[in-house]
Amino acid sequence: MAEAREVLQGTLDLLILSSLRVAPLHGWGIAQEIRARSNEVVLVTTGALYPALHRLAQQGLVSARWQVSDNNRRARYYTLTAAGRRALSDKEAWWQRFVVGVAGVLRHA
Amino acid sequence: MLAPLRAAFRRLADLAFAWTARYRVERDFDDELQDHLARDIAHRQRLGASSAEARRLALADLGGVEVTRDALRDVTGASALDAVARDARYAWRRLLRQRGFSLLTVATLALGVGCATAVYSVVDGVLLRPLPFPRPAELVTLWQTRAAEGITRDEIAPATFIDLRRRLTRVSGVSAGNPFSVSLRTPGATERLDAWQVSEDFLPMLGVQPVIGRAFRPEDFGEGAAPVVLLNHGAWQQRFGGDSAIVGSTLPLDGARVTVIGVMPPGFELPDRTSAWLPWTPTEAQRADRYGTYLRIFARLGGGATVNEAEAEFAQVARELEGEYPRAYRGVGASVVPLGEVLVGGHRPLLVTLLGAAVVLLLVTLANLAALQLTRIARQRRETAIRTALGAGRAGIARPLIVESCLLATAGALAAWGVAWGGVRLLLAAAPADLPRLAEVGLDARAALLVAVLAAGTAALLSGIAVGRVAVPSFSSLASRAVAGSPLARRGRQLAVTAQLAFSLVLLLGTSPLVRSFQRVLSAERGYTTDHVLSFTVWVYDEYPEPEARSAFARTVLERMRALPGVTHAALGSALPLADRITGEDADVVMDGAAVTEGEEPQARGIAVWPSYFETLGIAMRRGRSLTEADDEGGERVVVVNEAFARRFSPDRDPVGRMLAVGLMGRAVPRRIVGVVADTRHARLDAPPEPGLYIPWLQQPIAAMSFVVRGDRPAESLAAPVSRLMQAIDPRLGLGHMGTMDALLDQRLRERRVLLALLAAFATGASLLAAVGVFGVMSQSVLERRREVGVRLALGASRRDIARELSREALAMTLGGLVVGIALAALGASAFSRFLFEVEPFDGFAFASAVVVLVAAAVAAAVVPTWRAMRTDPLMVMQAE
Repeated sequence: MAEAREVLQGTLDLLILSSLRVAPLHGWGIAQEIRARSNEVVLVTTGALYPALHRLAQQGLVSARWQVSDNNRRARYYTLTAAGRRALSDKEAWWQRFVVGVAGVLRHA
Repeated sequence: MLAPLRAAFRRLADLAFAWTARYRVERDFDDELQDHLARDIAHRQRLGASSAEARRLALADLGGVEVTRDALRDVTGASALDAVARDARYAWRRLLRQRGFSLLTVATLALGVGCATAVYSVVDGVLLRPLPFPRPAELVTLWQTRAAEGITRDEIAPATFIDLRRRLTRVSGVSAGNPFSVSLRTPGATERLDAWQVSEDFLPMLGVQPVIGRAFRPEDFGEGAAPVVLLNHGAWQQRFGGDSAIVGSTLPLDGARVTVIGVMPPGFELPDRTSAWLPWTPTEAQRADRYGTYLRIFARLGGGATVNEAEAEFAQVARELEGEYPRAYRGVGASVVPLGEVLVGGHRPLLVTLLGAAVVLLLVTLANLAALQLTRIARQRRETAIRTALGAGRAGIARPLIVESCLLATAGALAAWGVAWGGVRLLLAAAPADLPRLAEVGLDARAALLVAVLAAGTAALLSGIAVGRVAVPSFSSLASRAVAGSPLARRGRQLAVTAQLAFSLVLLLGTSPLVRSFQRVLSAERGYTTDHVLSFTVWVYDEYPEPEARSAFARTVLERMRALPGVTHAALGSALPLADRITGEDADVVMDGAAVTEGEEPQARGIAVWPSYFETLGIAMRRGRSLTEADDEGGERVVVVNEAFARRFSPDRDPVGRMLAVGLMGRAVPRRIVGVVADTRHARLDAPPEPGLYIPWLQQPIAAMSFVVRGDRPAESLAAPVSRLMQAIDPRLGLGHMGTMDALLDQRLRERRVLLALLAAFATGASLLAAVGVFGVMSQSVLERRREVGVRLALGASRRDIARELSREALAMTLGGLVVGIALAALGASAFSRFLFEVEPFDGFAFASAVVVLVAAAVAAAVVPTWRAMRTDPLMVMQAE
């Protein structure tokens, strides 16, 4: 079971980092981005998203700062750091291997 | 010097910074969530939802803000201090959510620890703490004994004291206190105060100094010295409003102007309760007196001598004295008793019993806390599972539980302090008036330490249970909605409740014999009535030295008192039933025809009474005639005896008409027995009545005159007119010990009443706690087994089966508790029986009533949860799955 949680967590980190690849986003934006891009298959709850964001910030993979957004609201924007970009490509590579692996398992079932 | 300071400062600054940083993070996060919410609502509205609908959906989507925030904190965890503060907030919220549980825990803790602390404080002040004198262990008291008569502590005659002071080498500073009383005249009244005259060595030997003014000096002693007095602190506060200007002024004591030279420290009450101390110089007559045993003797062990060595030397001196004065010292032995022992001696059983009861109550409390905690932890398992799933580590789960336990223990400790504060006040108010050293009792650092230690223990117990019980649950428990309790936890709860029931039974078993013995004392035939009777004492040695004048004075007082409105009877005697210090004097009695050795005459309690004494106090005549006013100086010498006397001295003959020689405070005089009155019980209400005799006061007008006035109205209302009357008859006389007989009786019963009330309160509290425990365990059992019950009901089990099964659990706990409790009580019975007053610790009635009370409490506590289980709707339970 501990394994499964790690996978989930790892996946959430990957999704977040990946959603920040193009531009800095605030928390709500990240959730919307993931939702839209996955065709509403992957839903990230607030309770999972923010702790994950803060953990990534602590690990130095993203940086956060307050900015005034499009509609003149103050929002906390997250940006990928250099380390974040490296981690993103590592995690992407791991994910590709993982998907191929799982697919292999499924094919032979 | 500076470096560590600077380091400490830096650490402080760091902490402050961490706090502000933490605060900023928290605020940031709140802002962030706020922003998130606003965006979500706006988004939903754009998609067509109404404003309210959008808001509701967004909030639902956001989930528990607090849970999210906690999860965030688990991730970002900062300094240790910060973690604790965060856990404290989390724990606080959780405790608020489980308000009932938290209150119950704090209340239980307050009750158990508070009572224990209050009782400990009193016991500590009275019993355990060293006396407030330099080298208190050296202080001893000297008594003479008369083994043949069963007298183990008799006071000492003045001539004996003077010899002891010369001859004893193992003790130093041998000094004496002479019981005394003085009348204090104030405008409108004259009052008789208890006082002690003390010898020159007394205060220096104890090492006590006045708090205001000076101690006695050598020139204050001896014939012709200017009269001086030291005041008791309490008396000074009460009578002179604590005005220090009183020192140096003079008081009208016994008709003389006596200079107040100082005030003694609060709580200083040696040789005994007193209002004042005066210097004592033995008179010529006293120096020769080897028979008047009334002095209290104090000394200090010298040169490392032990109590036994001092006693051996005293015994040696007593034998020497017997050689010199055989008549005076035949059968006299020696006893040396540590001062602390003398002060507390008689009260030790009371205090030890209370302490024991408090400890048992404390055990019940702890068992109850354990049961409560186990119940609560079982309920929290789902929440814990959620937190684990959100990524909280094992430490993250355990820490808040520990903080929570500490919070509970702290709140409990604060409440316990309040209970202890009130408890000590209550104990002091209710304490027997002669309980020594009460001024030293109070909540102090030691009490605080006790509370702290108990609170720490409680915190450890609670967190031990919490952390031990919460294994980090797996996802499967998240998936399952069942709130499953482990069999181990249930077993633990049952054990805790069983222990509570057992301890409660011990308390109940200990209390009920006391209740019965008290009832026996209350209902015992005392032989006289106390209602509507007022009493007071005057001393007329100096004012009326001649018997004729004394008799005339008595006649005048009695006549004029009977003429007062509301007064129906008036009488006087040389002592009263229930009187404080002594009830009568020992009289030598020799029945006609009995052969006795001189000096070894049998003894009976003798008092001199006015003829109306029996009628006024309601003492019944059994045989013969009462005394009359014709039995005066010129009449035949007569005496009335009580039934115990008749049984002892005239077992097979009617005593009326027999002659006997009575030596009461002087030479033996032959007297004829004219009547027999009913027995009376005095200071020791449960002791068998002693042989006693009543001499006509008119034939022996003793100077200590105790008046009794019976009225047709409450005795209190007679006090003022009687005082005015006495003032009018002779303003020189001080009225001592003015009070109602009911009050005197109440004082006699007080120690028992207090002990009983407290024990009953403890036992009730323990039983209630045990009932709460049963209720908690049963409720939890029902909750845990809801699904099982639902399934079984659905499968056709009858509701009665369910009830029977649950009742069996309650019954098992109760029976277990009873068995263990009986075993414990039996173990403690031998120790306990010493503190029970002539009552078998295990009598059938006490046993049965204790068991019935406890079983009733357990059944009552089990009814509601069982009923709830029976009402389980199988459909609801299944749907909830």
